[in-house]
Amino acid sequence: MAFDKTSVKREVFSSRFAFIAAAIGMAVGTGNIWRFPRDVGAGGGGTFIIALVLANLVWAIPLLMSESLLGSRSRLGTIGAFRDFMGRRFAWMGGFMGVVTVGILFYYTVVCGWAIRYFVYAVSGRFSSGIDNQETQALWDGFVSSPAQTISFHVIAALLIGFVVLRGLKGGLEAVLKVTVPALFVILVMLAIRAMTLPGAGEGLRYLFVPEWSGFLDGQMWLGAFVQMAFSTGAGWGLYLTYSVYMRKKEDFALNSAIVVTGNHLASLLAGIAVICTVFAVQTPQYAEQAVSAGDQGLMFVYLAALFGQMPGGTWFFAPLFFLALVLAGLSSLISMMELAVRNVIDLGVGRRKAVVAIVLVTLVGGVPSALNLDVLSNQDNVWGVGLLISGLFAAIAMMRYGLERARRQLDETSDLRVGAWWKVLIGLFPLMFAVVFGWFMFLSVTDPSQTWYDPFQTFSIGTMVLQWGLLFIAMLLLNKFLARTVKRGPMSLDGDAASPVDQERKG
Amino acid sequence: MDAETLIWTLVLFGGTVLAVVVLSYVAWRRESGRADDGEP
Repeated sequence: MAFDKTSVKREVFSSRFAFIAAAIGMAVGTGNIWRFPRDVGAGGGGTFIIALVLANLVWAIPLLMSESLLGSRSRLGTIGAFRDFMGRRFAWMGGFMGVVTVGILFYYTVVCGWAIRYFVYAVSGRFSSGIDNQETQALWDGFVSSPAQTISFHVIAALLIGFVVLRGLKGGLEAVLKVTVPALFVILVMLAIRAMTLPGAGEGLRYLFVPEWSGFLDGQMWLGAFVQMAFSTGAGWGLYLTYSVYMRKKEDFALNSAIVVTGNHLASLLAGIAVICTVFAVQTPQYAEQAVSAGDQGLMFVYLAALFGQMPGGTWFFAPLFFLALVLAGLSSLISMMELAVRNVIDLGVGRRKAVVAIVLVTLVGGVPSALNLDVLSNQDNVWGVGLLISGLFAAIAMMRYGLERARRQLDETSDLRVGAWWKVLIGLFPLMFAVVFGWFMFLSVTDPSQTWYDPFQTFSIGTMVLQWGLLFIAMLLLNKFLARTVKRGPMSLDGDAASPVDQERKG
Repeated sequence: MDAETLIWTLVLFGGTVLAVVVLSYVAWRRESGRADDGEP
């Protein structure tokens, strides 16, 4: 069955604003709100932010542009895009990228369930005057040790997102994200302004923004910045690739990617101001240090939750607003993850309704272990979070195989910013950057005295990562022929066994 | 708030806000230009 360009009416975003809003919603997630403030604290304030800006420029923007080209030209999800850009032997790479993100979808639905639960707590006035962090710790422990609650809210999050994705692009994703993403920014601005005007907030701003120059010589800080950037921007997840399937024909690549990355960075800074300034203003510096080193969940659900009861307007206004921001950030990212999975299933010839039902059911089952056990959730976060770096490498390799100059020309053709040799250099250097970041991460894991690095049953060991990645690699390689044959044809698909546009040209 | 904190807040936070505003303005101008050319 040949691809007939005249018979396919494509769904596309109704405007550039809609595309950018959806893409920023994809990038801004719970990590911007609970992970970024902690990473800034650990990384030396302004030092970390400067390193993060650099990481955004050399890694995130070029990679998002690559993903955008993959999606917009192939008009297929991750599997079809890799098949059509690299050749039929490489469809498994798109499968790997897709499954890694689905692995994140499973536990991220649980995390969004937590956010919804705490929003419900907040609107019912749970964080009232006089509450302390012993009480909020007990509240958190009571919640996560109750399977009925964690699974119920996991189900609510999955069904909510399933309903949005079921309604398709215009009536679902776009309609929801055009409202929720601007609303999220309005809430973050309100929270940041409130936090900055609290007496004593200046100490929080100093903690956040003033650099420690010696920090630039700290390799751990650079690693933290690159890892936070890779998790936060969504570069290499395949999510931007999926949204780019619905781009207009003559859409910009470079400026949109820059706006998404900068908008995501702004959301992080606003959340950082809201969290850090509140902690420093309401409590002692010792409490603040304790709070930011208490882990993602500790900072958010124990320490910050306790502070809402101690600030004017905290119980009924700022606590609900804050947890609403967390819900919106989580759900807007979750929508893109589910759409990635659904898009790939649709490409296999299934209708949207059946695809959504299948993915929601798989998500409900796949998320249960993480809902029942925090160690499982931490393990999955680590395994697939680091796996994203491999997915990013695959996107860069796809560009190299397709031809960096050819890709650069196509990006430059419709971009509002000049895509010059800088893009080729940065994508060409990507394997080296990957080797440094990934190698460093592995070295730290091997030398971590608290872990037996080769034990596959430890939460954060290399053994558990390699085992799960290895199983996925083998499964995808075995399925490669099936995937390459079954995924429908797009405008770039070639007839017969022609391996890729590159190979066809070489054969002449 | 001391001067050092104010300067770095303006540079790192203000710079990000400025970047978002400028990039969004360029995108808006380009979109307006496309509409004027009679081309979603």
